[in-house]
Amino acid sequence: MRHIRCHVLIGVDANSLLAGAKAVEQALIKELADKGLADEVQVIETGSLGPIGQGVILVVYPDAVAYANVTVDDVPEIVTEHLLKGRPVKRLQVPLAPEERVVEIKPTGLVKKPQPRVVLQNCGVIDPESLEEAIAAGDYQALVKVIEEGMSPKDVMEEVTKSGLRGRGGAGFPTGKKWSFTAPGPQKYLICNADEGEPGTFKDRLILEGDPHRLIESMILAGYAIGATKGYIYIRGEYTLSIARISKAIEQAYRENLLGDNILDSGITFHLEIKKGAGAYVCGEETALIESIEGKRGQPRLKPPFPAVQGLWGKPTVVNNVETLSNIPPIILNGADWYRSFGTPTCPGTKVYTILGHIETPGLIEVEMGTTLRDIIFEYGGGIRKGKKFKGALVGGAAGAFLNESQLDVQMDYDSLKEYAAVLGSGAILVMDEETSVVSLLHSILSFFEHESCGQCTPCRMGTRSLLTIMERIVRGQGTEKDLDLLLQVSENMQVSSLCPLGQSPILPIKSALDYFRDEFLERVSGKWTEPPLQAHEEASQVG
Amino acid sequence: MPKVVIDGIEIEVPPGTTILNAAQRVGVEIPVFCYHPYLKPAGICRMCLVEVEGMPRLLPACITEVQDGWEIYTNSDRVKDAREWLLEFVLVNHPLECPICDEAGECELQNFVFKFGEPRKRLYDEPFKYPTRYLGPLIVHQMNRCVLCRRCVRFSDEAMGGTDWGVYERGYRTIVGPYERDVFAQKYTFNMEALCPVGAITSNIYRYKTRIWKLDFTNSVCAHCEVGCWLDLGERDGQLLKVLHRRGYPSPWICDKGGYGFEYVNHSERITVPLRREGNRLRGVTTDEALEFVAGRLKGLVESGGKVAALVSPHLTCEDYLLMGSFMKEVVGSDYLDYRLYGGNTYPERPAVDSLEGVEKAEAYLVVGEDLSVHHPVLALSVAKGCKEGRASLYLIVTGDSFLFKFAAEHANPLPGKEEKVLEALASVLGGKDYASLLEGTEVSEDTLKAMAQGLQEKKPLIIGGSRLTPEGRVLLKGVGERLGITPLFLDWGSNSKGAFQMGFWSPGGESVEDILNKCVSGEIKGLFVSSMDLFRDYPNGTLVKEALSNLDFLVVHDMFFTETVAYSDCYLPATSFAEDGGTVVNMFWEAKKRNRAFKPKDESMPLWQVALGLSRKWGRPLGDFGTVEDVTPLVRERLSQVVEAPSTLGGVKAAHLKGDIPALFEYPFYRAGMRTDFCNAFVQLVPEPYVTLNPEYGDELGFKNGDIVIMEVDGNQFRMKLFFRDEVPRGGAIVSRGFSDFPITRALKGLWYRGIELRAAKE
Amino acid sequence: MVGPLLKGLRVTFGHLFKPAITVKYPYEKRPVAERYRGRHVLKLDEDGREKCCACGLCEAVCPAGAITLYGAEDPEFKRSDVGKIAEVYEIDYSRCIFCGYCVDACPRGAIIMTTDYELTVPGPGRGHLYKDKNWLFEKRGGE
Repeated sequence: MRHIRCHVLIGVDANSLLAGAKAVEQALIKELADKGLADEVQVIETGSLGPIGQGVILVVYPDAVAYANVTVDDVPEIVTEHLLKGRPVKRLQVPLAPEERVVEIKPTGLVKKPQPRVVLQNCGVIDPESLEEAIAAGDYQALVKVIEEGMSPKDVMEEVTKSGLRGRGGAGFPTGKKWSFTAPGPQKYLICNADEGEPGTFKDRLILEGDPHRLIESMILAGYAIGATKGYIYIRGEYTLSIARISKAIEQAYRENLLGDNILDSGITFHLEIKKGAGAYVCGEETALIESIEGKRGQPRLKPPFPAVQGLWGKPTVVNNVETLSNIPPIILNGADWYRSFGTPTCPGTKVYTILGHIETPGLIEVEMGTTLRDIIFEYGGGIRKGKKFKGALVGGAAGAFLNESQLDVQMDYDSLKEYAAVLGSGAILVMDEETSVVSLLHSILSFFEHESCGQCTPCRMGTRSLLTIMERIVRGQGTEKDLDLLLQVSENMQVSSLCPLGQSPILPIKSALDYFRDEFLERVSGKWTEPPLQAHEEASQVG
Repeated sequence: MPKVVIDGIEIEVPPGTTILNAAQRVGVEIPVFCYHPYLKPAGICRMCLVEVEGMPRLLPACITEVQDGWEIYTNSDRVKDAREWLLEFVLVNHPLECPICDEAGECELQNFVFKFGEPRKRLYDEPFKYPTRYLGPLIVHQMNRCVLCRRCVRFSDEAMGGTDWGVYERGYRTIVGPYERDVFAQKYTFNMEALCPVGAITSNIYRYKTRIWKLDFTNSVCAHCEVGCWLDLGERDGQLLKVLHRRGYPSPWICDKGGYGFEYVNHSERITVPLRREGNRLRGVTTDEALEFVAGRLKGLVESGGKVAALVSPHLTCEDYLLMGSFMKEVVGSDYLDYRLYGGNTYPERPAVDSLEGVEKAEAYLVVGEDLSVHHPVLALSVAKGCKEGRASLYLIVTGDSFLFKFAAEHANPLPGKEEKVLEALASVLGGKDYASLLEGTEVSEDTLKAMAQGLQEKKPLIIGGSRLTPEGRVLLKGVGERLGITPLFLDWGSNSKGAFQMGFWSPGGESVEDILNKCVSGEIKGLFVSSMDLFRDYPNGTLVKEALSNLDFLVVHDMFFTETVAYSDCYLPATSFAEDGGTVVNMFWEAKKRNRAFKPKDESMPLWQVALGLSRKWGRPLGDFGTVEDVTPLVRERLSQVVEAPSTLGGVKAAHLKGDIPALFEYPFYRAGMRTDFCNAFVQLVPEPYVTLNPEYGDELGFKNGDIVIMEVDGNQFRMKLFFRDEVPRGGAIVSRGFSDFPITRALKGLWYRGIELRAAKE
Repeated sequence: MVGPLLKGLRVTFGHLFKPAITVKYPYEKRPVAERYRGRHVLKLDEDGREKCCACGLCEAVCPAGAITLYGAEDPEFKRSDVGKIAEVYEIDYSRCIFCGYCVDACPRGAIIMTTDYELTVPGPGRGHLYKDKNWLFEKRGGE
């Protein structure tokens, strides 16, 4: 019989994998075996612990000691000093706030605010490949509640409607309302949109990697509410780790009859399948995503008919974002009123942001809706890196808008941002310091759109191309002031005439960039501008 | 009914009408690229955006259904601005090569830029530089000019059930085209060219010949099959250069035979003067001389007690049949005349449906005894339409079907010659009788037949009996029809079999063509008149034809080319093509349609009715005073309204000659079927030589490889040809191509389209 | 009697010493205006390829219907830089009114008019006035 006296959590995500997490884990296991501690100390792979850009992160429980930037060479020291002798290695240690179960890692010692974790409750805490840990951490409790209390699909839907949960994919459409639109029919489908293609966004990936069972549970609940017996998770093909973990979780769930026919003898039937995307941004649009699942070319369909009436294989279909779905179990478990205690009256709940750019601690945070941008950047993100000045932020990914210093106090929720012609989008916040060139950033955003346009409708296909050619002229310093107007005109026309949101989006970054940073553009097109030395952008590229 | 106001004009339209259709009703033009009335709306070109009062965004007119009270503006500043931008977007990379583009003059982009564009340029980019793709002899694809409306792709998906013509790459780099084919000729390719609003897909046949505005278009009826599609014949200086299908009748689509199979009209080998035999030579003579000679010889034969017969192609007009029939019966006094030169011994019958829309409405189809896509291609599209949309189910009893099998719910693919056995079995299933023994040796499983019978009983099917059916087969099919309470639709060869029958152009004694040829061999018939058909190419018994023709005292051939039949003739009279003379034709639904003359006959060419008239005058008993074909038409109309009873053809039916190892079906390849297709250069390039096809598995068993040269042996005659593997060929059988006037494949046949053959590898 | 005679002779002799208005055509030729519209010429480009791409605009614009044009493909781009040439290009000089519209309409400057007005043809009949492509090319030949 093993008596585990100590757990070592190792955060495994794409970032830490690149930093050598697997090698560290191997070394750790080997070292523990060599020292004869294999039976006493258990090494657990968990999802992202939150921050990125800090290398491999280990957390040792029950001591609640966190180490960052661990390398293979550090392993013997940690094992002998800490795990064997019980003396934490001060050299690598970073502070941790145990009461909120939030890993807080700050070499500079700034105190990060505790975060209310609804969606990320278990991320970075449990071993995502273990069903037992997931259950112990509270997964599937909402499902059990639904079964035990005999909640009808209508009750579930009502609870979600009452909670005021809004779609976290970007548009912010009330989820309960979306569900209620599904046309009646014998066969319906539920699709989880995990095709997270917005540049700078990786929240869905980390949710999937950190707590896959939460998603499975929420999909069962959502499927139960709308009457779908079959669900798909459409996941980015590049997310190999997420795919591996969610596949394993589905396998485990099927084994324990948490998926399949007659789940836990409750009469609920739900099947789940994974579909891998092939790297098209436009497949994040729900109808293009449906086309892709059907095996066709990923391009948006005409609406109407909406997917709720005629979706996958012509049947009523609901497409929800990973984060949206992950909000459902806590709502069912704790009730709509509890959920409404977070956030603003119109946008209740929390929101997961990925903050990145020129910021002290880039990474994943979950905060209440309505938190100001200033708080997010300066409190949770630790402020601008190297003490530089804040210049602006791109909120909502490539299809989002720029905000400048005067808008730092804007409340981050769907409705408040509208007043500033900005969107919450996917929740990516790209922070720029005073040295960043907005012109170059806009250029790379426009080349992204040009590359990702599906080519179906003319305004988007040719418009994105034209925007890029104009922007290239401007970036090279060969543009004129007329070109700036042209950018606006073309993107305005695209907004009016494009088929799907992709073609309607470029106006947001272009208009806000030209509104708030026009001087910078004017300088470029003045004819006196010359190429600056390269170092200026070096740091940006490290993060971006 | 919703009431809307479009540009100030109020109109009430039925619910579900799109803005575009409502605008068309009040005569307001909205420009479109991707919209096409016969394709499903796509809404992707965004050219048709209009403003609706109270709507934040512009709406695509082609897909938005109007709602009551809408005020729609198609000419507001916002709409104009959007259109100008759109045209500018399209033109950014569009090569400005209108002077060399064949579409110029009928190009929708050109027209819209003229009407809605502005003479200014705001965007600059490199023009596209994709290579020009010559996709075989029919079409040329120039991606540079494409506006990505995807009409061609949608046609390929919606009507043809998917080919490898698709959309590839994305965004600005999006291209359309075939994925791997170098030659794109898929029976309905013409429609893709016609659908293209710009010059991205153009005809290789018409390529650079002349400009569209120099052509005079005449409405006429296609002469290849009895679907009878309306064509617009584009003529310049006595040459037929381009065919369009502007009126969507009877179907919006036509086949490649209709669209591209006209090259024989301008063929350089065409002989347009009468020839008269002098020893071993044929000498050119005047028309008068030739007619005098023919009338004199025929008169001489008749007076000396010999019989005279006439064999006329089933592709001609009713006027031709009427006057030639009158001449033969009343002047010459002959009882031997026939039009069924493709073989077979059946007469046309009245159909159960009266239009292609009627065909499309059916819930199920039973097709027996013909590859519809070869001999009635547009009918095949209509059948496929319902099946593609999932409204109808299709049951096939066809050997080696090459198109419809993709849509079939059940496909019985019997060995060659066994179609009617399977039909008999089907009748037995429906009658609750034992049928297992009937299926022996047909390669059709009992399950297929059972499922087919069940399906046919559940939904009311349309029964289509193909041209391959023998009289006995037709009786069987009628039996099946009676059991299900349906009259079958029987198809015939040629484009005007129904008309020829109605004009009485058949032997009153019920003799078939075979009987007439046998009488030539026996010497009873001494003179023969053949019109517009190479008997050696199309009549399925080359040996008999040869014997008969060599045994004749006098043979007159009325044709356009020097065919093998002409080589046996004593006198050659030049014939006109379908474009050079008008007339009435009767289509498969017994509707009379008028062909119009596109240009005057070349040189001395004469239509058959004029030949008959001329001969009767020379004979001394003129048929009447007819100046133009329109003078004959009233007589034709009168005849068409009469009821004609066909003689019984049962009893004299021969069994299939199936001796050798492998039962084989002799079938036209698509591009060789129809009238004079071996004088259409493009088609000859597509199918240059005859070949034999086998099922791949069966071919492996026999030890052949795809593309081998093999020797086919029938009755000691050896034919050397290529072998191909095709999936649609039934296992254990073979399909041999025919329709080559310079390859004596009909020598292998004995009156039917089936024959047992032996195959062996050719020695290198 | 003599008076009027002398008056007449004065006019006559007076003209003897004035310069002649007529020229000794065809030994001498009168100069023509620079923009005189005479015989047409089809141009070649620097590589000796035909400029005419058989777009048919001259044919369409010709008010007298004097131009007949059929195109052909030149897939190897040997005779044309755009791959399209005029297979038949005929001007019927018995109809041509020398209006110059064809020159104005040409998008490629392939047809120009020269100051050459000597278009007489031998023999009766108008057949000789049909001029084909070879005759119309810059190097005037085949007359």
